Parts: sequence; C-alpha cells; structure tokens
Amino acid sequence: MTNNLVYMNRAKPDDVLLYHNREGYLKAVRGGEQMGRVKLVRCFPYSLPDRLISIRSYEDNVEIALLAELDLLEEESRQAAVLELERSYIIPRIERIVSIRKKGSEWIWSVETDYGPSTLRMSILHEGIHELSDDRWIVTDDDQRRYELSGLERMDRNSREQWGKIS
Amino acid sequence: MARTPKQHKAIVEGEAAGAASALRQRLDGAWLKLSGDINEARQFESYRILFTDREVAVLNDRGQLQRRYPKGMIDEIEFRQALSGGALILMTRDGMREAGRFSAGHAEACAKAMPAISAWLDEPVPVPGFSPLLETSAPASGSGRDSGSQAEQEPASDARRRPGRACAVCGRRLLHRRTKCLRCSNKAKMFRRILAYASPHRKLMKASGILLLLSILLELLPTYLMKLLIDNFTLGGNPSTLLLLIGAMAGAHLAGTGLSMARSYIGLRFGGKLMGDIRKDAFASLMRLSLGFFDRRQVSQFIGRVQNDTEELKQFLTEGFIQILSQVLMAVGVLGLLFYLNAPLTWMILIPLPFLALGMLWLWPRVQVMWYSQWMGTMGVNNVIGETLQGIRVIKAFAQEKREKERFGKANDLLVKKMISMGNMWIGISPVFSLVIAAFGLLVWYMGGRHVLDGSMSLGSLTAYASYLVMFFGPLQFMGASLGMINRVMGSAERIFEIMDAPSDTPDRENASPLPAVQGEIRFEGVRYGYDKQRTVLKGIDLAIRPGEMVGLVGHSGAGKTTLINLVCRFYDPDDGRICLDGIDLRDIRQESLRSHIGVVLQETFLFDGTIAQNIAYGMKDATPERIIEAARIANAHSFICGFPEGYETRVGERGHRLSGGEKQRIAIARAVLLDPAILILDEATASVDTETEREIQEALARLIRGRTTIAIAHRLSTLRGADRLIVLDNGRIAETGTHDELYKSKGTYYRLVESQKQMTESPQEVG
Repeated sequence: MTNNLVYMNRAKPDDVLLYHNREGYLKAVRGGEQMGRVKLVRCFPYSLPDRLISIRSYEDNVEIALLAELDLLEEESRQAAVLELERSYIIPRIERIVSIRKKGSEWIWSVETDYGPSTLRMSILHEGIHELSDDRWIVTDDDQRRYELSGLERMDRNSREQWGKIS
Repeated sequence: MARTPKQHKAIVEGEAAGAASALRQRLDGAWLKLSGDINEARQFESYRILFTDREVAVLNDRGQLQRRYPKGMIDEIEFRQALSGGALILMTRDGMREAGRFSAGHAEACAKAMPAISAWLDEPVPVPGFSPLLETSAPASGSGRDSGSQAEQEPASDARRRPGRACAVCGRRLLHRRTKCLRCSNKAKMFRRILAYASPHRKLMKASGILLLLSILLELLPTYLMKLLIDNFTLGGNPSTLLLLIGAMAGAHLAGTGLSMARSYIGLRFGGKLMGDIRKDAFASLMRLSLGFFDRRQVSQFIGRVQNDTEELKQFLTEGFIQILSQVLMAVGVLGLLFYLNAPLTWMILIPLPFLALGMLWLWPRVQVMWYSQWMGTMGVNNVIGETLQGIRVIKAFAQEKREKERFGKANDLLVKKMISMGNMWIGISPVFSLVIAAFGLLVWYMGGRHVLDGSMSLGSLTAYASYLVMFFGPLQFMGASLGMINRVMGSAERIFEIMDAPSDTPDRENASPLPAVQGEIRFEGVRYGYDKQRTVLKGIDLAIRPGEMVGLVGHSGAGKTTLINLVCRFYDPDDGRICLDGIDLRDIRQESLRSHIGVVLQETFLFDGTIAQNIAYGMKDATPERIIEAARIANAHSFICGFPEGYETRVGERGHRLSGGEKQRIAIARAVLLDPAILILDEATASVDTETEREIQEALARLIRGRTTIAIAHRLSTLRGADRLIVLDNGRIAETGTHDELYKSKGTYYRLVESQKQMTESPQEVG
C-alpha cells in the first residue's frame, strides 16, 4: 500500500530570509515576498534544537515554512534566527555536576552549565527528571527552570558519581 | 559675567555630582525592583532592574549602575515569554533594547509586574527639579502600581515553594477477589512450583545450604564450650585450658559472623534474581491474556499482584524458607545434644511435644481463616483507594469527598479490627509458649540439680542442658509464628499463578502465521458472539467489505457495532462462524501481525505518559522526526503542537490529561497515519469534540481514510456521509445495507434513525 504521507511546507533554506527590524521584531521574507513579523518554534527543542524549526506568523500562528536545518540558512538569517531562538528558549545545558545533596526535604544540585554555575532546588526529585532518550534528560527545578543533561559519559568522574547516586 | 575655565569646570563637576546624587536618591526610592539572572552574554549573573519615576536602571549585584534608559526615550515595554524564562524588552527611540533576561523563577515576577509597568509608562515624565524625595514618597498613582509592588515583594523562594504539588501517592494497590479458594488448593504442588523458581540458581542455593549447616554447627558450639568452661572451673582445670576455650569461643563467634555475612550476600543476589524472574513471568502472562480477561476484572489489582505478591514470594524463598529449614535443623541438632547430655531427662521433656503438635494442628486452620480475612480487609481498603483515585473528578464534581471519607473509614475500621483480632490471638499464644518453656526450665533445673547433687551430672552439663532447652523451644515457637508467613506466601503464590495459568480467550492456532501484506478484504461468515454466553450480541452476521471500501456502522446503542469491530481486531473470537482477512481466518494469522495492519482511532483516546512525539510514534518506534511531523500535519495536529513551548517534546501526562479531547484525538489520528495501516477502524472518533474541532478532525480523517478499508462508527450520522456503504445493525443483525440515499428512500430502520436525530437537532444538515 502506498504511503499517504505528503510532505508540505518544506522550505528551501535559500527561499527564506530572516532579520530583525529596528524595533527588534523578527521578520521573514519568503521567495521575495514580505511575510511580516514571525516567531520561531523548535519542534523538538531538546533533542533537535537546530533542526526542524517552524517559522510561524506572529499574529495568527500560521506556519510559513518548516526549516529542516538552521545551518542551511544564509549567514545573516541564521544569526538572526539564533538570536531569536536564544531569547525564546532558555535551557542551560549542564556541563558538570558539582554535587547533588539532600538538605531537609529538598534536593540541591550544584551544577556548571553553559550559562555558568547554577543551583537547582527540587522538592520531588523523581518528578523533575524526565528522560528524553538514552543519555539525555530534562531536569526541571522547583522554579520550573529546565536544564538539559546529556552526554554523561563525557563528563568528569565526579559528575558521573553524583548522577549515579540518584539514578 | 564671564566665568574662568576653572569656575566652569567646578560648576560642571558640581552639577554632575548633584545629578548623580539625585539619581542615587531616585534609585533608592525606586517603586519597582525586579531581579534578573541572565546577562547579555547569556551567562547567569544576578542584577536588579529598577523603575524610578524617570527611568529604568540596571544595577549589578554590588549596586553599581550598568545601564540607564530614561523614561522619555521609551516608547513601549514588552515582556517576551520564553520556554523556562523570559526577557524584558524596551522599544526605545534608539531601537530595541533588552533590559533584562530571566530564568523561570524570576520571569514570573516580571510578567506579574507588566500591568504596573505599562501604567507607569503611560504616566507623563515628572517636571525636572521636582523633589525626587517628595515624588517617591507620594503614593503611586494608578492601580497598576500596586500589583507591581506585589511582584517586587514576592521573593523567588516563595514562588519556588508554591503549593499544588501533592505528595506522590505510594502504597499498595488493588487486590481483588480470587477465582480459587485458598483452602482448596493443593499446597504441596504449589510449594514445589514456588521452589522451582529457585532451581535455575541451584549453585547459589547449594552454597547457601552449606553455609547454613555450618552456621548451625557454629551456633551450637559456644554453648558446649561453655559447659567445658564451667567444668574447667568446678572440676579443677588449668589456666591454659581456660585460654584455649575462650579462644575457641571467640573463633566460633567470629566464624559465625563471617558465615552470616556470606549468607546475606548470597541471599541478596539470589533474592534479586528470583524476584526479577517471577515478576517478568507474571508481566509476560498479563501481556499474553486477551482483553476479555481484563474486562472481567478490576485492572489496578494487577499492580499489586505483580509487585507485592512477587515481593512476598521472594521474601519466602530468600529468607523464610531458609529460616524454616535452619530452625528445623537447629531443633534436630539441639535434640541430639540434649540426648547426648542426659537421655532420660530428654525423654521426659519430649512428653508434651505431641500435645504441642496437636495444638499447632488446631491452630493452623484458624490462622488460615484469620489471615484470609485480614487479606480481604486489606483488599477492601485498597479497593476504596483505587476506585476513589480513578473517579476523583466525579467525586470532586459531585462534592462527595465526605462520603468517600466515610466509606474509607468503614473499610479501614474493618481492617484495623481484623489486625487486632489477629494480634490478640498471638498475644494469647506467645505467653503460653513462654510459660511452657519456663516450666520445663524449672523442671530441668530441679531434676538436673538433683543429678548434680548426687554427682551423676556435672554443673557444666546442667548449664549447657538448660541453655540447649531454650534453644530447642526457640524453633518450636518460631514454627508457630511462621504459620502466618506460610499462609501469606501461599496466598501470594496462588494469585501469581492464577495469572500465569489463566488461558487466553483468543489463542492463536498452532499453524498461525504472520501476514506480510494485506489487500484489506474483510468477510464475516455467520458470526455469532456474546460477552456473556447467555446473551448473544451478534446473531449471525454475514458481511463482505471490499478492499479500500469505507463502511459506516449505524444502529441504536447496544446493536452490536462496537462488538463487530472488536472482533475484527481480534480482541475477542466469535462463538460461532468466522472472520476472514483476504480469505484467511483471523485465528490463522498471528495476532501481532494482524494488529500491525489495523489502525484504530477510538472515542476514548489513550495516551501514554511520554512526549507527544513518543505517543505519535507508538506503533513505529523508529519513525524519524520528519515523519512524525508529517503525520501530525495530516492529522491537523502540527499547529497546536507548535503552540506548546516544548513542541513535540511536550509531555502529555498520565493518560494525556494535559491535552483537550480534540487534541488527544488528533494525536491518535497522527498515530494511525504514521502506522500506515491497510485497515482503519474509527469508533466514535469525533463524538466528544466541538463542531470546529470536529471539522478539523473530519478533515484529517478524510486524508487518512483514502485508500484504506475503513469501518467507522458514528452517532452523528452526518459524519458518515462520505461512506461508500452504510450497514444498519439492529439487535445484533444486519437490518439494511446501502448508501445514505438508498437507505433513506427505503424508509426502514435507517430512515427512522435519521428522522429521530432530525427531531433532536432540528437541523437536517446534521443528520445526513
């Protein structure tokens, strides 16, 4: 039986231009046509942060294009997209676990991230750790801040030991 | 008057100092202070954003001014929400400026303050020269400021500890009535079956057994050494023998401790493996069982069976069984030593043993009944908890919390009563045992004392004898206490084996084979079926559905529509007749293979606790993200998924409770699209959604149906307008078949259904 899947809205990267206007709004031009203010949505913000980005009109949330990969954009557009995505997704990546300890009813993580050192406080540990795939987790603290934890094998011994205490 | 350059410089410096001082005063009296924690370089850094009457200022954590935006330069202020945070954006005359960026904990305070900030921006900038102190001390105008102040006052730590997180409910789940009576089952057979689980770990068992024997010997040794020690004192020994005996006793204790550690180590490994094996078997058996098995039972009870009953069996196999064995061996060993020390006295103390045995026999059935009754009490409590949690929405909606509390209270009281009566029995028995032991102890001291006095027995032998007697009664007492444990284990074993032994209602035939490709022709030949054999639902269905045909099933409630599709999925097998797919009896096709060709979209969509992407890809684990997105597009789900901050990686929660009915439905459609099945079954797929959502779902279904054999059930007959053929079921039989127009014209059952819907909706458009 033939597959019913029909590929739509697959944008050719060179078709789409992205830039910030003077007011700081992200705007898009597609095939020479001005598309107005847009927003960028990561379809898979954790596992594929630079792939499958939906460019949607800001006002009515209609998809203008689906970018297969950010790197395929022309450099200036890519920079504008990165800037916009950085503003829209604040997900520090844990690079080192300094300590995980329990103090009273709270779990306190001391970590180093690509945003710098940080402390996470979690009252219910198991509810804050979600496995996305093998060796990739999202850790959400009591403030609802999300941190990406991945590549434990590449981390130092202390990080692995700290993680081993709770996993 | 002309000023000298020096004077000019002094004036300028004086003005600058004055301005700085005024700014400092304004900052001190800022009406709103927000905390930011991510700097422009995208690094964590604490700083404060202060709103005075004239400006927005950013100060670092040492209080130094970093940036200042005069109010007159700001046209607009916007809070841009981000996933897990946000940013405060100022539209100034020089372009866009980011005043601060926040992670989630701080972003909330900023978002809350936005109405006050907007109100502040709308106010005119105060006239220069107006006393800043006076301005800041004046109450803030506009109601918006108040909410801003609240945002300021809310410390991050309070936000962190906001309520609404219930403690995770842990504890045992439902157990339910069993099909077999505990007292009627064959205990020996079951016991052998439990032990059979230990047979793959024979080596560990043997090692454990040898260690057990050694430790029993070591346990008996110190008492005998004590006898020698006392004799050494009383019968004139020497210091070197004393030292030797003390050394031997220390050695026995040391070796005993070592053996005990080794046994615990083996027990842990052995127990863990055993529990894993039993649990795996129990779960595999559950997966093997047909839907009919679960229809007849409360499903949550199986959590308890797989977890708690397995744990009970493991406890028995690793500890209980060994303990019983060691106590028996200990009793035999002690008895031998008692005979060795004083045979006539030992014969005497054995006299009451038959009476004790009779007592045990009398006690056994009573303990059994009491354990059973206590288990029922526990089950009652678990049932109330399980049922209440499952129906929590209804309970809350009808404000029946009090009633449920009372219901739980009753079940709980009953359990407490049972536990107390069980305890009472042991309270009565244990002291009697102790009394018997004490009486025999006194008897031994009296009789033995006389032997010591007349010189036929040494003092050491008497002391050792008395100690061994206590050791002999210990195992007997343990046997009494372990009656409860044995009963519990037997109950658990029975519940586990009940699952393992339950036959599947829909077994594959021996020669069943997988079906690689499917055309999609479905044929019913004289199919009869009833969930309850006394009440037949389908009464002789003969029907042929062509490949790629869309068939709509129509009929009153209870006419047999859902039953018909349940039979196609082989959730049940017909009592009579057969169903064929491409000419092959469904029972000759491997169930797994059959179901891989069938896509199902039901009214009640079940989503697993995972991400949206994982749920869409449920039937196809290796689907690429691109295919998942395309399936979601076809199902009209892509748009709303992109509306979630975490997109396809949004967790849907248990049973998808974080999504609306229409959203869940479209995810189920996407799941079916991705599976790309030859046969599609739609059971009231649009029943519980609003008209707009229904339109979107219908659109998605129309794309999905193309080229597939489809069987659809819908109450709203309008949704079946696109069907190639309608099958009207009435009381388990096919009443009519044909297109909408043909059936409507013939003025039969279908006509009456349409007319009755017309009257209800008063809209001919809605009824086909």
